[in-house]
Amino acid sequence: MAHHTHHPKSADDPSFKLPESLAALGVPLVGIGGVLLAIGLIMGLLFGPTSEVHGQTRGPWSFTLSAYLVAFTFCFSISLGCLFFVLIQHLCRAGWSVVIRRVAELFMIAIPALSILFIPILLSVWSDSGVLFRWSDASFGDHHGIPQLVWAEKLRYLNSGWFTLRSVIYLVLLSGLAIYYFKLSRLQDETGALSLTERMQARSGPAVMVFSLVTTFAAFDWLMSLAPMWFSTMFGVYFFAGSILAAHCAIAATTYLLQSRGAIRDEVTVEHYHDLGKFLFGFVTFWTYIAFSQFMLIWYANIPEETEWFYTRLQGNWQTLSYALIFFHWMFPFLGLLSRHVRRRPNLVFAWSIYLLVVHFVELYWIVMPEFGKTLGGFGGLLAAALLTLGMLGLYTGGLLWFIRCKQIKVLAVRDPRLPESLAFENL
Amino acid sequence: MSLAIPQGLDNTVERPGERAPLVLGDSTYHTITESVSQIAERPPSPAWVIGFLISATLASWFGICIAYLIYTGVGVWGNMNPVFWGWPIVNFVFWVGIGHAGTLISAILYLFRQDWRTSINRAAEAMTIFAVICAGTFPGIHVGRAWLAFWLAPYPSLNLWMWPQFRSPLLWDVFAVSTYGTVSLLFWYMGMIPDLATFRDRSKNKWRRMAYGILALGWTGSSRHWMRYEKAYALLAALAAPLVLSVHTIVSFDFAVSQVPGWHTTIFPPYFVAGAIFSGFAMVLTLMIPARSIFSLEKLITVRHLENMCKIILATGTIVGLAYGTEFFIAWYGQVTEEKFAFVNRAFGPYWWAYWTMVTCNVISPQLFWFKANRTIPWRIVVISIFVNIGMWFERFVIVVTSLSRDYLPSSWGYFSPTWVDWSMLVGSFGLFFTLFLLFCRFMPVINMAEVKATLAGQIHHHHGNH
Repeated sequence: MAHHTHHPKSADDPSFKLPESLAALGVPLVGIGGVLLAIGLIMGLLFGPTSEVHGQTRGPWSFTLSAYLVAFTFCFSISLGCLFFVLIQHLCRAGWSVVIRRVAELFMIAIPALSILFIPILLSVWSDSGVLFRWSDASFGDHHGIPQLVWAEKLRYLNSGWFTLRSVIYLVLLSGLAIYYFKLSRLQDETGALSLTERMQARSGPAVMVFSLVTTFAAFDWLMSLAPMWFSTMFGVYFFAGSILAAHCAIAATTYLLQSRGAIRDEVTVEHYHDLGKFLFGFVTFWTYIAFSQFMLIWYANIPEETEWFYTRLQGNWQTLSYALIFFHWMFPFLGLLSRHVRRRPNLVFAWSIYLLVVHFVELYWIVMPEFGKTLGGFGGLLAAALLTLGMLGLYTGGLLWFIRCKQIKVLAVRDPRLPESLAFENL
Repeated sequence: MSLAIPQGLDNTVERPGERAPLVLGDSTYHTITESVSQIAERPPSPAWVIGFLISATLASWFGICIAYLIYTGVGVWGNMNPVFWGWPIVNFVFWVGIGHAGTLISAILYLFRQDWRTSINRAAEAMTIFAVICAGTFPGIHVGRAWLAFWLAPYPSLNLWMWPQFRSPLLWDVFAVSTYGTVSLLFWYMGMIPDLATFRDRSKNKWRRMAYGILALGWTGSSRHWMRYEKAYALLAALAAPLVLSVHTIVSFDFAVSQVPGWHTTIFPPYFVAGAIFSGFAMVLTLMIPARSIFSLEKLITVRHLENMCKIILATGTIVGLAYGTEFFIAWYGQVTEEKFAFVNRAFGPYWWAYWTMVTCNVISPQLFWFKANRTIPWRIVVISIFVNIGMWFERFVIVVTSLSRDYLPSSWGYFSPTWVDWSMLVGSFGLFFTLFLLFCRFMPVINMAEVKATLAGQIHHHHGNH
């Protein structure tokens, strides 16, 4: 319970600004990202594989759009998880996390911009060809021998117009939450008003409810409906588990990078990394719990209507990847983060964060791509998918850096009333 | 040592940047010891005696019913074809759920360093153990030949020459619940050792001193003892935290691994865990609020503690509501005839009254906690908590009975009606639970004195640090 009284530095301290060496990367990253995205698209269309699913041929367009969805979801899930991180800190009136909350807020504020990158996915639905979401091809039901009544009922939910409207609602609601919380937090940088914290706290409860509904249904629509007939009530929680893990990784890794360039060096201590490490460990376990429960229940009951999704993933090369995920997404990070000696070393927390982000990408690839076909993608396809993701990541991070620099945003919530508590934070 | 906090201070208000006190009034280490110890040292109050007599009578009735059941056979219950799992399993799942608050408070809130847990963890843990006892009774007698229940233990039996069926989730339950019960008991007992030593040292009578002396395991309060204690406590907390999730996850597997429509759905594990915490906290509040007022513990179990628990009930109740909604939506989205039927049947079939009782109590009533008045006026909290408890019992009833009574074969459909033995056992299990809880209040330290003192010390330190 030893609380030293820590006085924050002056709000104008240069160490609260985005380091110039990082800020200068913004525009180049956007440029490189755009180029890589374009190369990835072209490569996907030229070298992407074709596949045959139930007598229907799916070509490079399907592959490329699927890979694009993976890239988009990867970036989006980080921002989504960070939004939840911010909301839950306010809901719990957390003190320890104030020094890292701004980093999460920065990822969170990318949601409105990321929404623009969702447009290609919406356009694919309107092509009515089943190029990405197979339900958008109205003849899907006939091809798959689905009773007409059942298929007609499914189409009442899975149709281009309603899907678009829902997606827009999700993106508007999430953007609204992100902008609201970002604005108030930045306003507090200027005024330090306690009432801002009180407002953010008071609205965090309803905000978390909106967030939960949107995340559940977005996961159903954007990922689960790739397999039009498959369903799992757990799927929203499953997607959330991956996202919140990715968000903690992104926060830890970014904080480490900022510190390595000279920012917020005195503010974030080994104690905060220790806590982030604990959350990484906790969410690795939570993801495993959810993923295992979802799999085990479907495997055990073995009902034909719902085994399809895992059956697809237990064939050919996908089977290898499914087994690999057990080790890479659970066992290695579980053992690696078990010890407090690891969690108290910022460089190791950083390394595990990067590792888990890569695994998170692989998991999303494993969620999306088996719906394209039996192939993992081949050399050309995999390269295209990697370029698409790197390109998207370039746009995402470069855009953020550029935004932070233009708006002169500080990387620490400098006048948060709980900053002294966070500065003094110690693990017992 | 006293921290001058004005009398009647509202510690539910916390200005950002400050932390509201958790121990109120002019409390000192001495007054904490006094106010907790006097509960066990003074002669019992009339309220306690009356409560105990009623509870013990009901508990005895429970025992008589069990004897009658074992003597006659499980036919005395309303269980029938096709509802082979009737009230006994409903009661089992209900009581396991109640047993979730205690270890959540002492393990998970400990790991999250929530200091407010210190005033409530002891009594909540006790409730956990008593609830697990009530829960364990039901499957024990539901097996029919209760004297052969030991066949559930994994040993190569000489009678049978075979092991239990490890593929059955009912066997996983045996392990899950018994592990949880054991670890919770250890956790509860170990946490009590310093306080039991306080009781021992205050004892004026030889027998009492001897009894508490044995239980206190020679505790002297030396720094070496404290060091080992702290370490063991942290280790047990880390071990118990996953157990809080695993028990109800495995109880949910009892249903979800099957193919019964309405039982088999993947969201069951986290949804059951949320529901268990929801009902557990409701039970803690239902008992803690009267106890706090009877034993004059308002300075230690403050309105802030009550309010925090209400917020957890609101959060978990809303998660449960989201799960109900998700199940309903996916039943339609999945377009599986039987699944769709199961859910429509729940809401509009012969058990519609149970379903809507559940929704009203579990989803709507906790929403009242959005209003601060409902979170801070004790009698309102008790009323809402009782509604939550009723709702959670009905949730298990809805799951068990509606799905079984109308499954795939319409020719075997039926309607379940409880018998007087079912009713008696439900009421009797409450009698057992209350009896154990009242005995605990009478003989054990109901509040973790040592930890509350540490909280007070932190408060004083912090208070002075700011000046």
